[in-house]
Order: sequence, then structure tokens, then C-alpha cells
Amino acid sequence: MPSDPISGEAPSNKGRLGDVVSVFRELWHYRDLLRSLVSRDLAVRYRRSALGFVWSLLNPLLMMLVFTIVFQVVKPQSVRNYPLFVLAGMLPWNFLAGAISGATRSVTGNAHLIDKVYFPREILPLSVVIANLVNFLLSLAVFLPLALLLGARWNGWIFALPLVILIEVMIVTGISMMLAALNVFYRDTEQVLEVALTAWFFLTPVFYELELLPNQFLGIDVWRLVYTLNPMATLVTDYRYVMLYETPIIRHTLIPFLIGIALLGAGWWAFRRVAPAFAEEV
Amino acid sequence: MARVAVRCEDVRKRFVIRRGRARTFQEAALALFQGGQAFGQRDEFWALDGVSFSVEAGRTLGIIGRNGAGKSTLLKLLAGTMQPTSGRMIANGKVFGLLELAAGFHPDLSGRENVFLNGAFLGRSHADMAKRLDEIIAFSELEQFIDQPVKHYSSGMYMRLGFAVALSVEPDILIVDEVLAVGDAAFRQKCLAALATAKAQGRTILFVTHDPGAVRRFCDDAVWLERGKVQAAGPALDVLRAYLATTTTHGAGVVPEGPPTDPYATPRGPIALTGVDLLEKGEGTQTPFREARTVRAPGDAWRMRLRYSVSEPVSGVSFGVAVHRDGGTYVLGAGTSGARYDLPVGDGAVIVTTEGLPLAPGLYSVSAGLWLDGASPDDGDPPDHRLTRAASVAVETPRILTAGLLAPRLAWEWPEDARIRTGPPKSHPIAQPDATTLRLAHPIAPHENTLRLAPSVTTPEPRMGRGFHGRFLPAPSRLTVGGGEDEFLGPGWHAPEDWPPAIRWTGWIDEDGGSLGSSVDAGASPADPADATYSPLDAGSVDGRRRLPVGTVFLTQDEWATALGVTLCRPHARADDADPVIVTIRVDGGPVGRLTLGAALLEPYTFPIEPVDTPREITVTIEVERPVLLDPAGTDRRILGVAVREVWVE
Repeated sequence: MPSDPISGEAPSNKGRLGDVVSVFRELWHYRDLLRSLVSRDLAVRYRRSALGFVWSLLNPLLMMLVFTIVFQVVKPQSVRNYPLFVLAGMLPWNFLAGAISGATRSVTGNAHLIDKVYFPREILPLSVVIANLVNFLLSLAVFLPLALLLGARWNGWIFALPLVILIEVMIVTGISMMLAALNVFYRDTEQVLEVALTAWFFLTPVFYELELLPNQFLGIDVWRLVYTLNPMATLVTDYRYVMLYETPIIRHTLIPFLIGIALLGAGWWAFRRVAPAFAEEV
Repeated sequence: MARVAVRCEDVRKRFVIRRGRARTFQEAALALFQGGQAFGQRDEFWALDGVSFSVEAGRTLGIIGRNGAGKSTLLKLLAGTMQPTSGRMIANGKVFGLLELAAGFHPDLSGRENVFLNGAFLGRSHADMAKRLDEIIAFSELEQFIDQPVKHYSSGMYMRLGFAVALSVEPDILIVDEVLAVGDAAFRQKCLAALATAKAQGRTILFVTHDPGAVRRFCDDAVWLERGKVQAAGPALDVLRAYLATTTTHGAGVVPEGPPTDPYATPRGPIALTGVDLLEKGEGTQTPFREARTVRAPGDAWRMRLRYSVSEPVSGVSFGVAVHRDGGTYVLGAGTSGARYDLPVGDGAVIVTTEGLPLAPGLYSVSAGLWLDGASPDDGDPPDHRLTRAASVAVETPRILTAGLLAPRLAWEWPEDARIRTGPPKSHPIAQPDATTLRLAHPIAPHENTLRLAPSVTTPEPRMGRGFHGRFLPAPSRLTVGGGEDEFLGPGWHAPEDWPPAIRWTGWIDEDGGSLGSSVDAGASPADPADATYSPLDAGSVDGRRRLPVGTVFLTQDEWATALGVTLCRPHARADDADPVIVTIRVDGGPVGRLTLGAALLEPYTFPIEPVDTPREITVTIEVERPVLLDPAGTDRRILGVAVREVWVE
């Protein structure tokens, strides 16, 4: 049984492909733990706040207000329906930032558990990612009708939205696993992450259009570079395409998809490889 | 074939102590891909170094050892939170460790929500926990508070809920780590009772503790770890004795127990204490060195010799002794009551003799201190030299007389109209949780002729039964064991204390005819796990050899007596099971008869013995050559020796 951690049947830490099945079987066995941790996360997050879940939408709304004021008043943008434009970028970004920074602390923050109880360690970062995902989906459920009301136009491509979300989930999960493991051994990860996320935010067209990036800056095609290397740049654009503009996305999305698969695989592999040492290091 | 629940095979665990954490992210990235290997200087430390043992399903194993012996590491490996560096650990069944109760509780969630969360950490589904919720709430006695956030709980409430959840998970193998050291007495009793129930249900329990008393009361077997190695393994009582015997030897490789930094461990003057001995009554100062550990019965007087060595003449010396129970409770402290002496250069000793100390069975340690220049323990002065736990004394008795710290002789006076009632004594619920089950499941035909069974003590003058630690009764010429059907000659059923005064389970005999005795050699290697032929009879196997139960009875043989009689049977017989028990009866070591017992009916047998001129005490041993297993096909692998009802000379 997968619940038998010391029988030698437990998934080995070698990260071989053959273990993938047993990894998922073990996770399945602990699905109730995953569910409990996710609902704990959500319950605890809003337990003592008067507005509760509303915050997960109110927060981006307020941010949207700030950006709208700054970029419409200080430096007017040519973007049509700018508030919707910003919000469509803020929601996916908040999912990514919240999940990654939460997951990075997930293993170290539960040191007392790691030391005392056996359970698949992936559960910890995964539960953070899923809790943030649930939050994200709930805010989308409010955003989409709002967008329709404010003049967004949809066609069949709106059904590609789950695909875009899936790609983002893969990217987020991969990075979360990697950083959660790294943070066990090097607590600097948390510190560096804060700066890195800020930098990443500005390299992601949340409050500007990707096309605004210069083609020629000190001899570098910044636009192409960001577009190729930053999967979030493409993804945020994709979110806008399907949720606001009826634009097909197939052309853009292959690279983020491949990056997502690579990150997920590498992150999970690295996590499992070092997970047996967590109890000694936390 | 019964199962092994947990088996460790040559398990080793290395910790790496890194020096300096000045590592760059570049190194870090490399390390991640090399499996966490660090660069640069590092120290290795083997927390476990070749640990092997196995636990059969349904047994309770105590793991004892001093701080740093590797107990916690072993538990973490067993619980699966850490991986061994080398070796194998096999667990047949669901393992759950009570390493820290309520480890998974979240302070902001209510007790009820935490039950589900904690259950999930233990691999239990929501639906499962929902079924057990009422039971958990009832056990934890938190009915009014279950919907409060647990951060408002007291630590006792936390503990109760954690323990209730842990027990409800019903693991096959339960790992208990010192959890009983906390909590109030009433709840501790409840936990112990719950653990006894778990034990009776056939769960395997691994019990880690510093408390020798808990091991003694609770465990069948024990493993003694010392610096990551197994020092001894076998029946709990034997291992415990070996363990406690060394807590007083300050030899190489053994860390003396006691406060690690006793500020008075170094003599401050020209006089030092060199040792403490327990002397027999009347023994004097010239007695050569004795074994530091001694056995006393409740009510015995203690004669303690405090040896000292003086390098230059000292004045105003006084001494003090202290007695602690099971390494903890302070039982007795006394100084030389204001008397101070001047002592010349040389070695010497003072002897202090107490009145009879009615101490309850347990393990006691004796510490000694000395004071110089008129300072005195009676004035609360700090000692000028102290030896902590310099000697240990086991207080033992064949029978549990009282609960608590004291075991005085008691006299009960009943009202005149009270009528005496005979019958089997009620079983102690924790000491023998299985007796009831056994009786109900496999009744042995009751003996018809109950009139014959009354004990008759015919010795005219009181004499001591040889070899007994509790010397209360003169040897009778007829001995009846119990009135119930549960008196078996074999371990696991009754703690040796529970046997009647005149018959005693004396331990194991080596199958190959080795000497009697119950002590385990401190240096003995553990049972060889590689032994592929795990015979059904090796329940009592120590260092690979099979050992069989032996009972000893002391009787008085009168001038006219020419025969030895025994009434016994094979316990726990079933119609479809013709497995006989074979026993040898010896008198003073010489065999007088060998019996093959096939039926579960108590039958009297008599054997001729040499007549004597004057009444004398004889030693009857009943050696089980071929025992039966309680449940050969199942998980309970304890062996049954033989049921003894009566032994007499006629």
C-alpha cells in the first residue's frame, strides 16, 4: 500500500519515470489530506476578516483602480477599456505570485509536521497552489460576467480559457515545488523571491501592452526576448485574448505550454529528489 | 505462521554536521542536483550504527536508552519521516507514530475541524473520521469546546484531543514516544488503559521512554540502545535489569546517568566519595567489593556503605544519602543528623542502616554526598562532593502488594458479620489485559474437586524460601496456584510479581540445556534477523537461541513424605490440535519425571522421591521442553507453557 512508508514500496526518491505512477497513487491515497489542507488554507485566510472572500476580488479591483488612475491620468494609454485590461492581467498574476510565495514557505513553515508525520511532502506546496487556484477561479467567476457587462466580446475561443489556466497551473506548480525544496536548504530563497517576483511583475504586461516593449534597446529586441522567455507574458496576453478580444491564441501558446511541461517535470523531480532529506534539514 | 510486525536489518543513519553555511546559490543549485550533498568541511555522526531487531505482531516493545542513544532517530525512521542511510526497515501494516500529539493542529481551526485535518495527516479519509468523531469527542472529554478554535485550548485539552485522534486511527503499529510523560494523572491512566486495549486488540506497540517503570509495567520485550547500537534485546525485564545495572558503572563507554552537569560531581576538598554499596545485614566494612546493584524486598532494611578516600586530614565531615525511584521521584534524603567527624588520611567507609523500608517494587538509586568544615545537608548547605546514582537497588516481590510508592504490610479488620468468600482474585486490568479474553475464548475444564485445592502450610517454624527475593512465607509442603483457569507457567501472561509467593516463573532455560536464569548479558547481540528459520517457538529467543519457560517451587519435605505430586495440564487445547506440551519435573536439579500433556484437563501425577530424615526444603522445577503457541496461525505469538494448579509432597 502506498501508505506504508517504510516497506520499501514507498516511492523512491530517485525520480525515475517508473515512479510516476506510484507518486500519483500515493497522492491519491492522501487526497483527503490535500482537500483538508486546501480548505484549511481558504478557511483560515478569511476567517477573521469582515469581507472574507470578497477580498480576493476587491484586492485586484483596488489595484486596477490605482493603475487606471496612474496610467490614464499621468500617462494616458491607448488601450481600449483599460480597467478591464488591467484586471484581466492582475487576476492571473495574483494567482501566480500568491501561489509561488506561499508554496515557497510551505515546507519550512510546517517543519513540525515534516519531522513528526509521514505523508507525501508534495502535498504541502500542492495544497498552496490549489488553494490559490480555487481563489483565482472564484474571482474569474465574478470577473467574466463583469467583463461581458462592460463590453468584452467573446467567441468560441472563450472555451480555450481552461487550457490557458492549465498551462499557468503547470508553470506555477513547477516553480513552487522547486522553490519550496530550495527554501528548505537555503532560506535566502524567500528573500530573493520577493525581488524576483517584483522584477517578473514588471516584465509581464499586466498594466501595459506587450507591444509597448521596445524592439531595439541597447541592441536588444526586448519585446522578442520577453515574449519568448517569459511564459507569463504570453499567458497574460492569452487571457486577455480569450476573455476580452475574441482573438485566437493557438499561435502564441505553444512555447508557454512547453515551458510549463518542462518546469512541472523539473520541479517535481527536484522536489522528490531532495524530499527525503527534509526532516533532517528543516 | 505468525507475523513479524517490524523488522530492522542493520539500519544505519548518518547525520552530517556542516561547518559554516557560507554557501553560494551556485553551489546550492549544484547541491540540489546532487541529492543534497554539501561541499566543504563537514562532520559525520552516526546516530544509528547497525541496529537490528524485530517485533512480532501484537507485542509491545520498549525502547530504552539514554539521551542521544538514537531512540528518537530510530522512531523517525520507523515513522517514515526520515530514510536510513543504509539497511532495511520493514513494517507489515500501517504505522503511525505518536511522536507529537496534535502535530497537525492548526490553532485557528476548531477542534472539530482539526480532528479531520489531523486524521487526514494520518491518512484517514474525511468519511472515516466522521464516523469516529463522536468517539473521539467522548474520549477527549471536550464536548463543550469542540467547536472552539484550538488556540483557546489548554495544553491538556490539546493533548487529549491529539491522543483521541491518534488512537481512533487504529494503526497496526503504534509508536509512542514519551507522550505519557505529560498530562494529568487521570488522563494518563486513561491513555494507559487505552494503550492496554490497543495491545489486547493485537496491535503492535513500540514504546520509547526514559521511565524504566513504564517499560516494566507495559512492555513484553525491550531493546536497549546505546550510542546508536543495540546493547541488549529480549524480554523487557531482563533488558531493563541489564540497562539499570550499568547506570551505576562508570566504566568506559557508558555515560553515567543523572543530571549531566552536577556542579558537585568534583570533590572540593581533600576528601572524595569513591562509591556506595548495599550490604547484607551484618556485613561490615571489610567486605570486598560487591555488585553495585542489589535486590531487596519491600520491608527490608537497607544497609548502605559510603566509601571515601581522604588525601589530607579533614575536619567536620558529615554525610548524606538520597534515594530516588525509577530515576525520578525523590523518596528519601537524610544526613548524619548534626554529627560531624574528623577523618585521617586513607580510605574508609561509613555505613548507614535504615529500619525496614516498605518501598513498593521498583528500581531505586542511591546517591551520596559529603559536607566539610561543619557544613551539613540538614542546614541546606551545598555538598562538597556528590555521587549521583552511585548504586541501584531493585525492590522486588513475587506479588504486587499495593499500588503507589509504599508496600507496607497491611492488616485489614472486617466486621464480625462479614463472611469470607473464596474464588479467583480479580485480574489486574493493565498487567494482564489478555487473561479475560483467553478465559472466555478457550476455557479449560474446571477442576471438580475444589476442596483439595485449599493451601495448607504445615511447616512448624518459619523459614525462608531460597532464591526468592520476597521472603515472606515459609515453604509449604503443598502449594496451590490460583483458583482460576489462568495460571500458566509462561511469560506474557502474568508479570512475575503476580505469581503466588511460593511458585515463581524464573525465566528462560536455554534449549540446549544452558543454565537457568533470567538475566541478559549486557553485551549480548540482538536476535539475528537473518535467521531465516523463524521457528514458531522462538518467541523467547535471545541472541538467536531459543529459551523455554521454567517455573520454580520451593516446598518443605517432611520425614514421612516419599512422593512429589503435581496437578497440571496443557493450557489452551483445542479438539483439532493434538500438539502436546512436554515438561520435565526436577527435584533439587535431579529429574524425577517427564510428562507429555495432551489434554486441557487438570490431572494429578505423582513421582517417587527420596525420603528424608528431618524436614527440609526442596526445590521443584517445572521445565517446559515443548510449549504451545497461543495462536499458531494468528498474530499472538506468545507461548503457553503449562498450567499448574497444585504441587505437593506426600
